[in-house]
Amino acid sequence: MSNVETSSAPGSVPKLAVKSLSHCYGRGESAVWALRDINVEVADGEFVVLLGQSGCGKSTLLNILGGLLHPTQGSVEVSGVPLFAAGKDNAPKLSYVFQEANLLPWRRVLENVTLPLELRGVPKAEREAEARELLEIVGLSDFALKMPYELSGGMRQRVSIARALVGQPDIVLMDEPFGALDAMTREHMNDFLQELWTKHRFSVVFVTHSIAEAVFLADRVVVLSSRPGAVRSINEVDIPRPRRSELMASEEYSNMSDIFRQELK
Amino acid sequence: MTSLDSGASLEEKPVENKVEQPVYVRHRSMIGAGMVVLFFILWEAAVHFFEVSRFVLTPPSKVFEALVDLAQKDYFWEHFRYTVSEILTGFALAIVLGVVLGVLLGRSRLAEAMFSPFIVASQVTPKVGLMPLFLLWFGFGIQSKIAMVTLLSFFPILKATMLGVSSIEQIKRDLFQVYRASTWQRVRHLEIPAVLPYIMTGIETASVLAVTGAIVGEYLGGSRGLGAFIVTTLSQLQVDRMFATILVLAVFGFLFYSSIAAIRRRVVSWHESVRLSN
Ligand SMILES: Nc1ncnc2c1ncn2[C@@H]1O[C@H](COP(=O)(O)OP(=O)(O)OP(=O)(O)O)[C@@H](O)[C@H]1O
Ligand SMILES: [Mg+2]
Repeated sequence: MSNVETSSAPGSVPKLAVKSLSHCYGRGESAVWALRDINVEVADGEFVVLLGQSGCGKSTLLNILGGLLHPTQGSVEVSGVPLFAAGKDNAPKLSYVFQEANLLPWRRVLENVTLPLELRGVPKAEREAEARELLEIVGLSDFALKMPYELSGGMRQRVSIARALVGQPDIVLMDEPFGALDAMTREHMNDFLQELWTKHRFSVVFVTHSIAEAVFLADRVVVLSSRPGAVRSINEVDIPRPRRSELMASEEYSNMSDIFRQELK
Repeated sequence: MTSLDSGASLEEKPVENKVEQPVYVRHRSMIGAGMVVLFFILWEAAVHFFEVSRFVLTPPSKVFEALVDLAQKDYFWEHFRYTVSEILTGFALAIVLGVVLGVLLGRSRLAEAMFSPFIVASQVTPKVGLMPLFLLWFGFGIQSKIAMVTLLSFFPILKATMLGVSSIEQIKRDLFQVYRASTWQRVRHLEIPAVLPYIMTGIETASVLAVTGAIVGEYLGGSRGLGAFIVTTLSQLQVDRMFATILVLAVFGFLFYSSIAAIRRRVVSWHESVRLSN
């Protein structure tokens, strides 16, 4: 393990660059600095995990990356283009997996997955073909025409992942996507996400406060400190893939977990 | 009747896992019909047993006779059509006004703050009390009755629409923001479908009030419509005809309400309010 600032080769443009980003909620007396001077880069096809205690600003950072919130200071660039400057046509393709599946209850599973393409104006036949492919990948082809309420919590979250992967997004943002699931389903979903990512190699920023999840999934773990949220360390996880749940019993794994536990204190 | 397919896994059919329903659930409508028949029998018996004057309570047999008689009179159906057109026109106006204003007030905190005193005031005012004013403004013709129908049925629709617009979750709006949806796309794919169940519930509630509005309006002014006809039967002490007319109104109100409820169940079949009641 090594503490490094960035993993992208010198000179190349990173997929995502967060530059001296700070965010403050409220003004004057009641101002709260949620984020202070964050610098992070994500290489193309890299899996980066943001790890930090509750309230340290993980969601705030992810919301800024997703364009849901304007930062007080600093900038975000996707492939060298500032996020907030880009017009609708050359906007980077981002997608977001929320803590809850956040499906539209009036749309069938298939129509939920096609939504991002529909908003981008992709013709119906084309977007349905692509959505069906993704439903196949997440193992829900038989449920394409079901309504969301006919699915279990884990199945819904898989639909939401399919929706996030449709249309080859530049970056997939995930805010504790499995936080609402029970421990067993969560482990299963982590396995499944790793497998998907290994096959398709999209860039990911994944938020969690579970050390186990971080070590299991990440290429690099960005540990955030609390109040105000700042980058405490950036750590490469060089455990070979595919990682299996048996990993949790290994010495390598517990060493790494101990380090993060120390970092989070 | 309900046989459980033992081979079906829970994962595949999470919602079709029904349990055997008790007798009173399976034969619900038959029990209801039986009670109605029993009610008419008791009514008939009570009138004869207690020798109630026919000017106070007419036995159902006489009411049905009057009904058959009225059904052959053109003027009766003329009154009926008049009332129905008041209801449909006033109700349509209420839907348009209620939805448009509800969306505007639901979207803007400022507008909501500005208008809420008026909304509260008009809710606590007995609106039927405004009918004489409507007669003054709109005359004894159909306009004053339409105004009454609209006034009564407008508020539930307005309230429901406002509630619907303001209860769209932020996380749903965020989803559309991440994909940089245009304003029109947000209206079309998020706001309309999300608010529809609320609007439909408001419309359903309002449908009952629309009928009330028309009848009250006709009681107080004019000589046309079933409400005015009831007043006539009363002045001529034709209690059997009065009951027969009320019966026709009840049947109409029931059909009106249940067709709107059926439309609601079809349009927003995905919503909890429909799924949980089935
Ligand atoms: N809308 C807001 N207005 C004011 N303060 C906020 C707002 N949202 C978050 N905060 C504050 O900013 C800080 C960071 O919040 P954030 O939601 O980003 O934390 P988090 O790391 O995602 O926590 P968790 O793990 O519990 O989800 C917290 O101290 C919180 O009180
Ligand atoms: Mg959070």
